Amino acid sequence: MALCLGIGQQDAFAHGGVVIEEDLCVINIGYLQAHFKIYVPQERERREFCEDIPLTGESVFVMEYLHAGLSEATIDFRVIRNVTGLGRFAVWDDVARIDDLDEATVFYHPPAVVPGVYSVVHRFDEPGEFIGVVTAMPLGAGEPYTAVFPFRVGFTGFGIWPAILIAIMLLQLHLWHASGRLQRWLGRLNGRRAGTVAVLFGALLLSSHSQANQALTVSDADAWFSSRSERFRVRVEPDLQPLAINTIHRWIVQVETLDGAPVTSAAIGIQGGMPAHDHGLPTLPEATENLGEGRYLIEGMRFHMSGYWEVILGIDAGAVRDEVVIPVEL
Amino acid sequence: MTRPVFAIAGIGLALVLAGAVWVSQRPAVHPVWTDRELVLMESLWIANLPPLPPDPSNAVADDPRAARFGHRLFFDPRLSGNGRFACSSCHQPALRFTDDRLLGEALGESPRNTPSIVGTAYSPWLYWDGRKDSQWSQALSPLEDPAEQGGNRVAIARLISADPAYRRAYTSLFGPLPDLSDSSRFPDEAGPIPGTPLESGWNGMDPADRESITRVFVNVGKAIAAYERVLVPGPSRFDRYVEALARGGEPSSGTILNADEAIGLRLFMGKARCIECHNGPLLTNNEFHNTGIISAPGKIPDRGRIDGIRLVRADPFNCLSAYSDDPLKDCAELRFARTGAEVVGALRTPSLRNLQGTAPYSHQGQTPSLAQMMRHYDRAPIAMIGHNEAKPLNLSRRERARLEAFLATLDAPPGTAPQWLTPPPDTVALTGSPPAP
Repeated sequence: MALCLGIGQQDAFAHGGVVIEEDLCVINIGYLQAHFKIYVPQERERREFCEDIPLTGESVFVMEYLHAGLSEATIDFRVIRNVTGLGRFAVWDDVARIDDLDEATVFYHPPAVVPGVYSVVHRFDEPGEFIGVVTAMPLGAGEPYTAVFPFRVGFTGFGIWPAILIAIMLLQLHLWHASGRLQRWLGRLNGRRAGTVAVLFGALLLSSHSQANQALTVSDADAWFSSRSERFRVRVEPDLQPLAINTIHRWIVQVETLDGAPVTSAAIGIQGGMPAHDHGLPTLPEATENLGEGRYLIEGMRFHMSGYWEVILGIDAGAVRDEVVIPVEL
Repeated sequence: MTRPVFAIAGIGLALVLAGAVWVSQRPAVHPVWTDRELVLMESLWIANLPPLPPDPSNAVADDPRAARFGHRLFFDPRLSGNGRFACSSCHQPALRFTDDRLLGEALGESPRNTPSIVGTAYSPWLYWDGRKDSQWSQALSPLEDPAEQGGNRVAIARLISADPAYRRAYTSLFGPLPDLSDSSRFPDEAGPIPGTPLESGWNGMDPADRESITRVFVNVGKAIAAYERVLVPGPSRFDRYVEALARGGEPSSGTILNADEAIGLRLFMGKARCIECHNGPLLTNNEFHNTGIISAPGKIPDRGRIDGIRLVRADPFNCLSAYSDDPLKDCAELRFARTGAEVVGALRTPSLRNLQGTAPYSHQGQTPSLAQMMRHYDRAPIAMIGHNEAKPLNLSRRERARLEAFLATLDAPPGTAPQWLTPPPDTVALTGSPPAP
C-alpha cells in the first residue's frame, strides 16, 4: 500500500475518524469501517494519500467498505474549512459548535445510498486546513454515525526533519560498516535467501505436478470425479458440446456415493474460477432443479477465457457434506 | 607503450557500438507459428464468427422490413427533442459507428465515451457497464435521455403516426397504431423522464394510454435493433493472413503481415496476455473487467458494473419484462449475472476490431492513443476502486510498438452491404429537410 507518509508518523498524527490500522488507512464511522484513500489523479496518478494531501487540485476521496452495512447506509460527505482553531485536534463536538456550517462548507455531497464503494471528487484551489465530516445512517438505525477527520491540503512537507533523519541513518550505517557488523548481517541474509528460494522452487514443482495430474476435461462424458474426502463421485454433462468460451449454458450434474447409490436430495453450490488468474466465474450459476435419481440442473454456466478452470461443486446431503473439483480445459 | 592499449580499446569500443547498432537495426524475423498459436489465431479468425445469435426478446429482429424501417429511424433526427440528433449523430458510419470525442455529445454531454455498435448483436450486454441486456432496450435510452437525443415517447409515437411511410412500415410489422387524435388524452409531448416537465404530463395520462404509447416506443426500439443487427465486422488483413495460413499458404502469408505485425500478434497471444479477455472472432469476451484505468478529470472513478447490474435488473425493458417477446423468458444471462465486490469498477471489454480512427480510448476517453494504452497495460497500475485484474507485463518499447502494429491489422470496413452504411436514399424526402450535420 503506497501511503504518502511513514506509517509511524501517520499513527502519531492520526486524529479523529481516519487511522492507520495494519498498514491500511481506515475510516471509522461509528462501528462501520471503510478503507479510506485520497487520490490526486491528474498530478499524482494512483498515489494514495491517507489524510493530508500534499498539493492543491482535484482530489478524489474513496471509501471502500469493510463493513457490509455501509452498502445499505445513507451517507453524506462534507468538507469544511477548519475554523475551529484546533487544527488536527478538532473533533465532532468542535464541528457541532460551528455556528454556520454551510458558510464553512467547501464541498457537500447530499445523503445517498451508494453500494460497495463511495467516492467523491472536489477541487481544492487553495492550500489550507480542512475537516472532513462523513455521516452514515445505517438501514433501520435510529441515530446516524459520524466520522470527523481534520486534514491539510498543499502542505509543504516536514521542513528539514527528513534530511536530518537520513543523515542520522547514514551515520549509523557508516558506523556498522566500520565495525564489520553490516557485512556479517548481509552474509547471514544471503544464506537465508538461498534457502527460501529452494523451498519456493520445490513448492512450484509440486504444484505444477499436481496440476498436470488433473488433465481431464469435462468433455469426457464418462469421467467421474471423486469429492475431496471421497464421500461422493460426480459426473457432469454440459448442454454445450464442445464446451466453448463466451456462451452461457447449463450442466446436468449426477451425484452418487462411491458405491454407486444416487444422492437424491442434495443441495449443490457452485463456485470456481481460474487458479492461475486469481479470478472467479463471470456468472453466479445456481442449481435450479432436482431432476431426480441424483441428477441436478445447473443454470448460468459461462467461461470467458481460454485456459485452465476449476468448477467447485459443494454437495450438501444433510448428514454428509463434501466438495468436488471439476477441472475444465478450454 | 600506452598507445597500442588505447588503439585496442578504441577498436573494441567501436566493435561494441557497431554490434549494438546492428542489433537495433536488424530486420525483424517473421515468426514460425507453433500449433498452439495456430489454434489461437483461428479462434480469432472472423470466418469462425458464428451466425447471429437469435434475439427471442425481439420478434422482428430478423425481419428485413423491420431492418429497413430501423435504418430510417437510425438516421432520422426528428426522433430527438430539438430535431437535430439522430442515433447516427454519435454512431457515425464513417467513424465505424462511433465518434471521435472524449465523451458522447448531443443535447448535452454523456458520461462515457461512445462505443461502436458494430457486432453488438453478439453481446449479452450493452453499454460499458452492461446496464442494458438487448439491442432494442439499449436503443430506447438515448431517445429519451436529456443529454442525448432528448426526445419523448409520446412525440415519437406521434411522429410514427403522422409520417405516412413510417405509419405503413409500423402497421405492417406491429399492427394498428393507437388513435392519438384526442389531445386531452395524449399531450403533444410527454414521457417518464425524471425532473423534466415531460414527466408531469406523462403522470397525468391514463395508465392504459401510457401503456399503448410505451408499446409503440418499444417497437421503435425493436425496429432500430433489427437494423443494428446487420452491422457486423468485415474481414481485415489479419483475417486474410489466417485464411492464407489455414490454406497451407505459409510462404505467401509473410506478405500479408510484416514481421513486426506478426511478432505483435505473437505477443498478443502470449507474453502480453491480451487474448485472455480480447478473445474470439470479435476480440472481446463481452464480460466486465477492472483494468485500473485512471479516473477522468473532474469525475469520480467509474463504478462500472456494480451499478450496471443494479440498473439492468431494475430496467423496465429488460429480458424478464413484459415487453420482451420471448414467451419462455429464459434470461439466463440476467438471472445468473455476477454482482458484488468483484465487479466494482469493472467495465465491458471492447472489441479490438476497428481501433484506427476511433481514438480516444477507454470508457471516458482517458487514453488518447494506443501507444498510451500499451503503456497502461504494461504497467498494470493499482485501481483507484476495486482491484486491477491485470498484471505487469514487462514489455519493451519495441514490443509495445509491435503490439500496436498488430492491432492496426484488425481494421476493416463493416461486413455489411454498403446500402446499410449510408442514410437511406429517401431520408430527405422523408424528413422534408436534410438531416442536420
